[in-house]
Amino acid sequence: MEALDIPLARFALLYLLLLLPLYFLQRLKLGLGREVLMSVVRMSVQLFLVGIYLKYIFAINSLLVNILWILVIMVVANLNILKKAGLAVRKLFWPSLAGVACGTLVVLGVFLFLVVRPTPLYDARYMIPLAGMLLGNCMNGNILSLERFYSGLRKSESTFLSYLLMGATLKEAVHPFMREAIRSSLAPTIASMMTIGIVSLPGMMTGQILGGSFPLVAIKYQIMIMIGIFSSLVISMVASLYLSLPFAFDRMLMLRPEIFAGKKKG
Amino acid sequence: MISFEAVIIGMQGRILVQDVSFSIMTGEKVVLRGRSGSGKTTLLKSLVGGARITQGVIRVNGLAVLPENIQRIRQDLAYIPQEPIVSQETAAEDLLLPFTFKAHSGKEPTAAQIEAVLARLLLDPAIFRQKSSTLSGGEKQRLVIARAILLDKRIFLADEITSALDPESKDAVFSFLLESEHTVLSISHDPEWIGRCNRVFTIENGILREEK
Repeated sequence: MEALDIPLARFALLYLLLLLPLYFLQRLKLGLGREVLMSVVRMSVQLFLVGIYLKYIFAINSLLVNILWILVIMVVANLNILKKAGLAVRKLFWPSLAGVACGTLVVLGVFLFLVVRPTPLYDARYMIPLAGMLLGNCMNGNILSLERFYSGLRKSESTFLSYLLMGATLKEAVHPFMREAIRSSLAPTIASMMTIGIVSLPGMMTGQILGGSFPLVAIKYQIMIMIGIFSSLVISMVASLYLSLPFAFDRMLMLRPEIFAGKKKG
Repeated sequence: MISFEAVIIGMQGRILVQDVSFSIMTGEKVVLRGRSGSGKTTLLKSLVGGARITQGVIRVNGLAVLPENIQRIRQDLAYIPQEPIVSQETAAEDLLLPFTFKAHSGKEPTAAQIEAVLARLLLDPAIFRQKSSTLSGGEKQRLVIARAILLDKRIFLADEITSALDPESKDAVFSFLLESEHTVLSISHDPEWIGRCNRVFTIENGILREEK
């Protein structure tokens, strides 16, 4: 059983549906019209391009191509993380990339080698979408945790300094800031795990059901992906934060102002 | 002893402190005053490595403030900001926070030592069980000083600490800081505090001069 394809003419109707929310936004004078149109255009173009790439990547189904693809999306995600977190790419590119790679690859490895075990193990139909889903979530989590951690330290420099004067090591002095950053960044994921299935059917599961999978199979995949997302999120947050420390602090153990993007005060 | 030798501190292309040279002997009570943004806090923070020195040397007990010495220097110094830092759930946790760090683990003060310190700062021992968020500004300030005493700090850097003190706290803080053998380098606009310090410096447009 396969999902019904949507003919192009009917697919175009979807865009007409947008007229309704755009009308409301216009009436409310939110000034979001241009932004919404841009995001819809970008989303459509990006997804169509991905569809085309994936068609070829699935057809080639080569380990090397799959790894290259994952590397590329990891670099793009990493650049996005640093940009959105307001951090300097040239200072924190490598530690942040290593953190993202840790979170994504460890969980992807567990999925492919231990849980799903597709044949071949690097089957693009499994490896690519699973990596993309993990990475997308790691990206959002890491934006929050890095931004909160470093902006928290910058705002509370006196508190941080007072910990150092109380004899704390760098790791001990940053610990309260790290705890807060991770706690608040994980809150949305924990909340979504609490309510999933009650209010909404998650995207992956819906996609699988529409694609012809049995609901119980789709649920197993969904649980796997939720546990995977949570695990990769925690691993990548902790790894990115710890790995960035040697790059973010000087030899006096003070935060380097240069790690912030632009010319923000340090 | 603290000494500043031809120290220049710049930030973002602007010179905050120009060619400052002075020294403070052990036990002296020194106050810096000047307009907001004149570089007073920067000067204070430079002693603990919290502000980068562009030129010159700062020494604390003979040790230059350099990365290789900073840990040793920080052991002797206590920084007491205008807004006292109490970040834990209870006052007890705040007071004993440093003893959760590796550097002081196993060196927790005894109940008698804690009581003596609290009494010296006119703090009610019942405060120990209180939530930190319910403490008054003056109590928080005294708790931070009590923590520094328990750590056997010898030099106190005090940034506008008297601005939020009630009369009882003010008496306790003044008598401890001004009558003990500790060295105090402070920033203040409080005439009472300024009047009781040994030496008064004014900083204006980055230039420091001592008032005679």
